[in-house]
Amino acid sequence: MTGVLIGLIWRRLRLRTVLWGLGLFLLAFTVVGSYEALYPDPGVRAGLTGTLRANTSFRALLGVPGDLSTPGGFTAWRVGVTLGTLAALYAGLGIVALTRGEEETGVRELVWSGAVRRQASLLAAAAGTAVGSVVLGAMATCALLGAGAGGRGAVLLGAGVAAVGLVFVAIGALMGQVAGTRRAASALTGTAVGVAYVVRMVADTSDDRGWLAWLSPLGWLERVDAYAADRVGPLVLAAGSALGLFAAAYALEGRRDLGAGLLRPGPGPGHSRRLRTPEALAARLYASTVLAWAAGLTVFSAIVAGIAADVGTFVAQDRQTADLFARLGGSPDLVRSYLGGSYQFLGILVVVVAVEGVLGARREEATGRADPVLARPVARPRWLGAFLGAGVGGAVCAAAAVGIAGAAVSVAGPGGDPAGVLRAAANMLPAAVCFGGLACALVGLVPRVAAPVGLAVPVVTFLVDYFGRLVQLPEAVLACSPFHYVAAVPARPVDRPGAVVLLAAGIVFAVVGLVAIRRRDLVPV
Amino acid sequence: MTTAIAVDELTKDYGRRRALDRLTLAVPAGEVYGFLGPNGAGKTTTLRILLDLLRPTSGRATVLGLDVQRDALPLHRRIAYVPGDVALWPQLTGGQAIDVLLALHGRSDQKRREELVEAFQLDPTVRCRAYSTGNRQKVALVAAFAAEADVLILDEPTSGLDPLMEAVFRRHLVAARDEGRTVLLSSHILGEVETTCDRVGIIRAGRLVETGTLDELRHLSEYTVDAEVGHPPELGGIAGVSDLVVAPANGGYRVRCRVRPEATADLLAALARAGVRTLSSRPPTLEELFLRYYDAAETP
Repeated sequence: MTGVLIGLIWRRLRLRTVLWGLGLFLLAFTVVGSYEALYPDPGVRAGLTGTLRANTSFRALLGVPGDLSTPGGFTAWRVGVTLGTLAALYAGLGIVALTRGEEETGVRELVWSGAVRRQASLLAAAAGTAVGSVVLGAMATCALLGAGAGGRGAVLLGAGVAAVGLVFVAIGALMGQVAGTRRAASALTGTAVGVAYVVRMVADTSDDRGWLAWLSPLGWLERVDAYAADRVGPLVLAAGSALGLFAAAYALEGRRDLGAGLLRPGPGPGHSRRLRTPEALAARLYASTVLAWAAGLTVFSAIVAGIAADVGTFVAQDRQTADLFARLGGSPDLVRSYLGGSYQFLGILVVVVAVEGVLGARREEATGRADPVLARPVARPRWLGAFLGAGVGGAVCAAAAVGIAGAAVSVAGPGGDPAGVLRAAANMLPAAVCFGGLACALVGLVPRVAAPVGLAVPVVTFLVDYFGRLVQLPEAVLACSPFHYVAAVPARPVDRPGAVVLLAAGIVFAVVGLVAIRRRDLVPV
Repeated sequence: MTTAIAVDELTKDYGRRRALDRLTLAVPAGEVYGFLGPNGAGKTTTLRILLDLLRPTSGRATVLGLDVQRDALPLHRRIAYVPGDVALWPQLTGGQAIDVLLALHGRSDQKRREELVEAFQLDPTVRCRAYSTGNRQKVALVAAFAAEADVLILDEPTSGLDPLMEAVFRRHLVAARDEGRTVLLSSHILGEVETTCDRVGIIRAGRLVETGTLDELRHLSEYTVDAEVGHPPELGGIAGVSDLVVAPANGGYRVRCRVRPEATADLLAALARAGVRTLSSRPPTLEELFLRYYDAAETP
């Protein structure tokens, strides 16, 4: 019976695992390749470890370099922590979705009523995500071997990534016991990944605090020190911790009620005076998501702005990287180019905040929650407009978080550009309005595909623009992407005509959506 | 008699599947109208068109003289609706959900809201994600009964309620009617229909196959007749007599059959000729009535 469950779990996991695995593979593979191109000179390679060890910003971002004189060692440092973080998210959020998610949809009730041990579902989900974690680690190893960075280090780095995954399988399983809902369990697991990252960052920025890294699963991955010290000890520690944590989750699973967690949600308010309009309702439904995005973007923006000066100094030593930055940012000023490129990247996330908010309307419709609202005297355009407002409002909050965090750090640090960061944050909004409006039009016109298309269009056109400039695609292709008209502020001045066009397009799309929503049936999934 | 809800030649296609086929229906004002029919017959589709959640392929419908599409907004101020499958916002409490729905409706009665929450024994401080089906229905029912509305449209509102809560529902339903409100109630619960509905309409495959008061429907339907006779009766030739069973008993014969009202006189004459000793007849039970309509309407 447990075998049947594992089979079911694996069917749900395999596509996700393959996609994540490919992502990890490509990340590791390209970095190995880029090393040869970036540092052809053996003399520079030999000095690299010392230079970068002294750079606090890079230590905060990527960890303490081990041995950067080989492609493998460089890759282990450059993407090791990132690979580990990705494996942690894959495994932790994956097992929460499979256990708590299954419990919320009611599938678990059928399983528990069958002739299986209570923990069978948990075991099957853990087995599935554990296998998935090992696959991710193996993909990293394959990438290193395939790109020619062979040896013991490739295997150990892959094993380290898999080990981080295993630890977070156990942490996710445990959070699924602590929280009573999928949402809360996912948030706790995500926070655990964040804490592991921050503890590692604090540990890596000073040799005095180095011991702190032993408290973080990502620190264990660093302590493996692939291609340098090649330690196995941290892997054993990770495996032991994973087993211990999972044993706790296993024990709790046997004791608790179906649908219950250790944290019991207390009673909420029995009345509401504030939720009196569709706008208030849409804002209330989206607020917690916006808060989570804003928190993440605050940290992200602070890091980007915080290491700006160091990045400038480091990149200036290397002509090829400097070229790359100039191409992305379009300015000979390296710090500003770096900021321009980085804030463009944060900009797509702000766009996603806007789009997700608008797509909330479609979720309400598909789940049937829109029915009782629209059966009341609420006009359809007003209802959809409320979600459009929530999305755009959310994007404004997210951009504000980016701007304020980045500017605050820039003011505190040397050589910062607080005004430029604020302009960069404001520059994200026209695109957010444009794609928020597009999502609104899609919800009105083609509700069934609105969610995937509404998200895919901004992400794909962004990637075309961002990487198109790197590989120097023809101007005619680049001009097709709306992001072509979003300047890399602060490397360049705000593209005012472009911003006006994006805003106007967003408004036209929005009007189309608000008119179209009047004309159709409400449709389920 | 004024008509509160008028449905005229309503057709609705979902792609190639026809859900409603020129449905025509009239609900008199101030009555409770039971809307019955097997699953998939088009009940929910009809109700959702009345609320402008779905748009008809052809035909039109009015409620209180207002067009359901063109006058949707002013009309919705006067309608309270309970969907068949109540979905609520998982992160809000039941009390918050009720207040949102009442605020969106506009006019509502706070005192009645509290009374209803009490009567339905609903804990309004629990998050909607933790509610059972029945509790979600209670939230929708409280929001519907506490709203000031002239028409109530209820789609199988008691499918998740226990018998005690169903009694509470019936009490409020009758009270709503006594206040002069019109109710369109889709239901499968025959006891509920029998005790609360003034009139019923039976829909099958998107068409209304019968409508009237329960008495009228009974009179249209076959009675069951049991009789004991001295010698074999000759009933084969009578149109309108069916399911005939004749068996020897007590030195004579026991006869059981169904008879349509128009054939009763012929049946009695034939039984008299056969030397009838005992005779009893009973009207169809509600269940027989519905089963007959649900089945027999197969061929329109």
